[in-house]
Amino acid sequence: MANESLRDFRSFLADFRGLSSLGLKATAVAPFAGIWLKTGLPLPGLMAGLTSLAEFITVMCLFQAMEKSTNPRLKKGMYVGIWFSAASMLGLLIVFVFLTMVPGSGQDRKVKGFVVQPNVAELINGTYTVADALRDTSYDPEKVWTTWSVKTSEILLQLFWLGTFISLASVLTCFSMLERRRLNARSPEKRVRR
Amino acid sequence: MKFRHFLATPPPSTPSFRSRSSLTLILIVFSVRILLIDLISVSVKGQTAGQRSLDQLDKADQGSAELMRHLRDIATKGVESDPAFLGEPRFGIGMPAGRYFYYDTPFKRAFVFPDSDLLAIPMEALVRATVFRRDFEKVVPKEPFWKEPLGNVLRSIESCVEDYAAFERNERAGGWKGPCADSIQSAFLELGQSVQRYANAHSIRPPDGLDGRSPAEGYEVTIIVSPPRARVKIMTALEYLKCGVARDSKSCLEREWIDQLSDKTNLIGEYRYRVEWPADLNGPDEGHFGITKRTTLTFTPNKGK
Repeated sequence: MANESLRDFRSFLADFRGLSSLGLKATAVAPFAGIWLKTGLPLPGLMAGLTSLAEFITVMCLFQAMEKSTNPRLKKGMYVGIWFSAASMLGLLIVFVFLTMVPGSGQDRKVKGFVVQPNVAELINGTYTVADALRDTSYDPEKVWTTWSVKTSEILLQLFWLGTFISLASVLTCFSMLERRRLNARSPEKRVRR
Repeated sequence: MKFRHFLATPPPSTPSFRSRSSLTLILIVFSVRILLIDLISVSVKGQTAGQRSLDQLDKADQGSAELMRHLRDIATKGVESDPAFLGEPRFGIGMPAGRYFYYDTPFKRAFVFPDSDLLAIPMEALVRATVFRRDFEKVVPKEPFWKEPLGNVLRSIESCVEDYAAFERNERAGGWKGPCADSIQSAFLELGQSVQRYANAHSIRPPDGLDGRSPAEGYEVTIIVSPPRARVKIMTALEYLKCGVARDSKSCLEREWIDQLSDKTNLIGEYRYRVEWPADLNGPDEGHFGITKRTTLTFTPNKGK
């Protein structure tokens, strides 16, 4: 029974026929693109590995939990995943827009804070903005904003990043399972067993 | 911005140091001065410890070697007696791994002797050299890179003290002008360059910041000083503004300057600079510059970048 389940899972991962399955594999690799895209994500290498691992565990758990589920339940799971994905992506977008910045052309994106240090706040007025202060510190966020607020921004970015990829993986898992069932229902004799 | 951290990371920039330094300033000035008076007076015939002031010491018939020995004793005692202040480490490797720190910004002279004292400059330099010798002997005892440059620093201090002693003996009427700051500083500059060459050869880097900060990488900036007879110091524009509104504005500025020891460095944003030209090149020059791309900065006397 366990062997059969594992075989099904391997077959599910190895199934190259469905576009959704390809998408799932792409999602597992996508976090590594963040390293080259200079997203400003703290600890990019570690986060890429961690995200891929989290996605793999999500796919594995979902497959085990939903294998025997009915199609309507799978669809419901997929819709819930879509909502989570959308919320996480929105969160990620908001963090990117409001809590990150690029110091200059060719420079890595940096995470900002949201609470200005008191001794910097004294200098901020109509003509001297937080952006000016940031430029005047060699774009060192922790000299302009409080350390805890910069760290909070970093954690938010990491959480939304993880949330986006995990929810995307869960959506694609449910979708792949539905697609497999549909294909198997059409041609049961061609069921993939590798 | 590599050099910001190269020089700005040591503990002296921490708040605890600042509060401590302000509290201990008076104590240090007077205790060191008293210590000097004690040490010198016991070696001068017919004098009782504590009877002579430094000004009286000037009149004492002492050789420069003896004076130098006394100054060395004072520097060693000062460094050993307070490892968190005068004896604060200035060089270290490996914490974190693959990183090093080197900090050669001078103490405020008033920390060791009153500013008006002719021996303040060599004394301050001697304290720094003593700390460097201790740190190098502890961290890289067998490496040769520091021995000759540090020897040159000590020789420049000795020569300064010799000049001073000669002046005290024979040439007071002529008026000794040179406190030897330039020669001592060039010797320290040479030491800094030697440290950097060693760091480059061993692929160790200055830390991003002791607190783990990670400012932008910046753009490569080539610094040219023409003629090459001046030290270039910079600070971020925000530090300059902060010092402008600080109560201790002058000492704040003194603390924040960062020496640029290398021809190339990485910078981004707005900076304040100070180029310390000698008097015959019209003296120090200050101004602002901004970096938004890879560039070359050329400093010439009284013309700025």
